[in-house]
Amino acid sequence: MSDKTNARMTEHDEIRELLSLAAAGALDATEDQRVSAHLRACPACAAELSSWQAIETGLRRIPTPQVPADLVARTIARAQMRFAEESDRRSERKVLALVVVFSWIFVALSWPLAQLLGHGWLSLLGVGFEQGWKNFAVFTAFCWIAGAAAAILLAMRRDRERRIA
Amino acid sequence: MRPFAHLIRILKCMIGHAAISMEVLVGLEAEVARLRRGDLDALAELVTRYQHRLYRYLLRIVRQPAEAEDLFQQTWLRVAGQIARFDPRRNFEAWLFTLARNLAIDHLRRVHPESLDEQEEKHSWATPASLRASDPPALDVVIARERTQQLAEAMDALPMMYREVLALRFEEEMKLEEIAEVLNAPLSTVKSRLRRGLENLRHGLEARFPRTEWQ
Repeated sequence: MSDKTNARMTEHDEIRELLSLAAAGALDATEDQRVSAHLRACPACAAELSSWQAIETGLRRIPTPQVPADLVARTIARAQMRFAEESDRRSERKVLALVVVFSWIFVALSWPLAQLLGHGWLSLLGVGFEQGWKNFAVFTAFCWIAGAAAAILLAMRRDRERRIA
Repeated sequence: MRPFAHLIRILKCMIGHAAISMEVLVGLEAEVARLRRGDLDALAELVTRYQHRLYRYLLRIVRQPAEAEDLFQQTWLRVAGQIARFDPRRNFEAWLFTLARNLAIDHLRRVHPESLDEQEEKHSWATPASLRASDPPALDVVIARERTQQLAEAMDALPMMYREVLALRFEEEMKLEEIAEVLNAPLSTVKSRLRRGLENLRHGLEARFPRTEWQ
């Protein structure tokens, strides 16, 4: 077999592989030109392209399955419920954060407030206060840690309950 | 004068189609913008707009109506949850189908991992209501219906990777670039899967329905 025949057969085989994509409109400009040029001289490939076009026309005509009647309504209802839950969760987190911050501020102010109410202004500058600041710091730190731990445990419990529900 | 009138009619038709497309696009962009602001009515409009296409695509992938329904709902919940992160400059449809695809694949991995392998499976797909005949139709209508039914069965038997590409191209009428975005794959991969999917489909048709001629 001559080289020219071999080259033609290779070209023919290559074009045949592109015909399904040609019918699907999926060729780039170069491929499209090659295929069009080949089809002008090859009735066999032109017939093959027609077969592919018939299949692809059929694919576009496969009937659309019916969507269940209430699927859209159920989907929207579920989304609304999820939105409402998220909104509740965000509000609760804000309230929890405010409560924690308030408790920290309250604890920080409680020692000088107690001094002020119990012993007056001078005791704030007295020897007793200088020695007691360590106790105050420990007491404050303990209250902050306890408050934060309580908030975290409460949030975890609420999340668990929600998941179960 | 007649060719001129014909040309004017064609131009009017083209302008009309372009106007309708623009209107659809503007409507879609407005709905997406409203959903990003937390408007649930916008979500309802989007669900209604895409219900047929999304359900069809999910059913094509998972092949079980109950599973497709559940994934349909999960997809929209995810859309609502992630819409704040959606870049409005992106193609919303491609993003929607990407979310749906990812959920469907995760579902198949959990429940039917074997269906993700490149093997043919036999599944039956409920005959759509539109195929159930009422009055006796003409012969050519019967033949056309039979062919589309054959195509639907042959497509149903393809491996998932080919089924989804054919569905996105011929049922959802997506461009190759959009399909590449949904599949998160290069364009060359999309073309390769499209070609092999069509070839496998044709072999399946010829094996199941040898007497049908496709011309």
